[in-house]
Amino acid sequence: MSLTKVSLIEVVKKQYVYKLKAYSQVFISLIFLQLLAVLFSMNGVGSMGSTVGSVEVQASYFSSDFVAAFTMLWGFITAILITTKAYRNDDFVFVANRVSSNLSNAVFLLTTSVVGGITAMLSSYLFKVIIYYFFKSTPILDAPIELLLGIFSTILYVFLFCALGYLVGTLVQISKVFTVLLPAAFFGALILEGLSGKAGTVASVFEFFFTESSLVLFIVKIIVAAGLLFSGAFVLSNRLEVRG
Amino acid sequence: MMVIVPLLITAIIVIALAVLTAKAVNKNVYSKGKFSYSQRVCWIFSGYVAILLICVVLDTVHPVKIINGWKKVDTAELEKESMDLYDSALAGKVANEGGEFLRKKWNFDYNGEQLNIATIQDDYLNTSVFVERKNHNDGKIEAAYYQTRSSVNGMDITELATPPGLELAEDGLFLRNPKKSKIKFSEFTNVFSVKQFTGEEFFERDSHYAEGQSILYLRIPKDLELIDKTNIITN
Repeated sequence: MSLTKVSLIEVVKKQYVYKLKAYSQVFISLIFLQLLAVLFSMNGVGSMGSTVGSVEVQASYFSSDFVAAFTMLWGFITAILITTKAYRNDDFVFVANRVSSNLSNAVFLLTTSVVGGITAMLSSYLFKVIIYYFFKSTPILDAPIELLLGIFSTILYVFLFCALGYLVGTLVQISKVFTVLLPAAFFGALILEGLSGKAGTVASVFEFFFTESSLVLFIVKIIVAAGLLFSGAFVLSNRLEVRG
Repeated sequence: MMVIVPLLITAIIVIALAVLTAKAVNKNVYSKGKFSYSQRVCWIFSGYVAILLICVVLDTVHPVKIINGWKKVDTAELEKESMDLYDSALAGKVANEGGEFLRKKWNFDYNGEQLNIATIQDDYLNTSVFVERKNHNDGKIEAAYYQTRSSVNGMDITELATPPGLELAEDGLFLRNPKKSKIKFSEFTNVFSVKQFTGEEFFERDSHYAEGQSILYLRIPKDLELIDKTNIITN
């Protein structure tokens, strides 16, 4: 019970600032993962060999695909981590309720997505410089890199995965059954689809986002999907036991 | 399924790393030095961002460029000049119109009545041969090799495409494979989250080749009988 009445926004703000400090270790894991991805990318994300007349052509391709994918996965895991009990109880250092706790988590995840998205795209310069200055053996062709579009779309993807992770984390908090059920359902569907050779739910969900060629529609899709995932998590988290 | 296995392994590594770092450090959050820890994270993270920014600056100051003097070319232009050269060869005007694409010239003295034309190793010989009869018998075979520009991914590789060998022996004129050359290069492409908007293929790498039109134009004495063993002579 608090003597002073505090507005929701203020609580959220306080919690958010607290979380930025208390959960700061997630950024260390971000650095680790991105550096690991950069290391993997050194090998090139693809290669091509062909013959044009008497000229034999061998090309290796480099892009920040790995870094972006790792960052998305990192967002997913980070979101699950902050729903775990140890983290959840941090909220009650402050005068807080589920709404403020969830909201501050969402804002925190948005921040991590922005940080993740920007660093993921900037890290492409890191391996560009490494390849250029340390592996000069082959000439390099430079395609125009769409930096801003890359940052923006990666942020959205990371945020989508954060939202998904947050929902998954909340489900797991409700019942541990989900720790088995969710991966089993996901991989089961994936394997079934793989065996039947038909595009099923998992493939169509991926297609829904990853093949969208209109930026506006893409933004709408991500915002709606992330909104739904977060609202789902908010509603579910109300079922969690009240902390004594 | 085979695609999924390496993906799964990578995913497990990533998850394990993320969870481990978070867990290992999690203890510190509850220790007394909490804020000094978050400050340390702040320093490490700033250091990382600083390195990234330095790389951006390095890349801007000293952009990674096409090296070895390769030029960018317009593929549509290449296609047009390739068609044009072929047409002018068909019309017998290649000597006038294709001057800029002339790569090599040969002159042979030949006084026989018959001439075999054959290829030796033609694995990657992709040349059309045109034959024009002169108005008189001067005992000379004039050969000219024309080639328009070739490109890979919009990059001019014409200099690497060597002309084929042509030699006159007792029993005929022989066409040889051009000397093989090799190029190796690396290319930076956009991340997949950009490709989906720019219309590039998702996991496919875009690669375009345009092989230049290559034409061997022979001018032979009026009454010389040609015996073609190449199957590539257009006329």
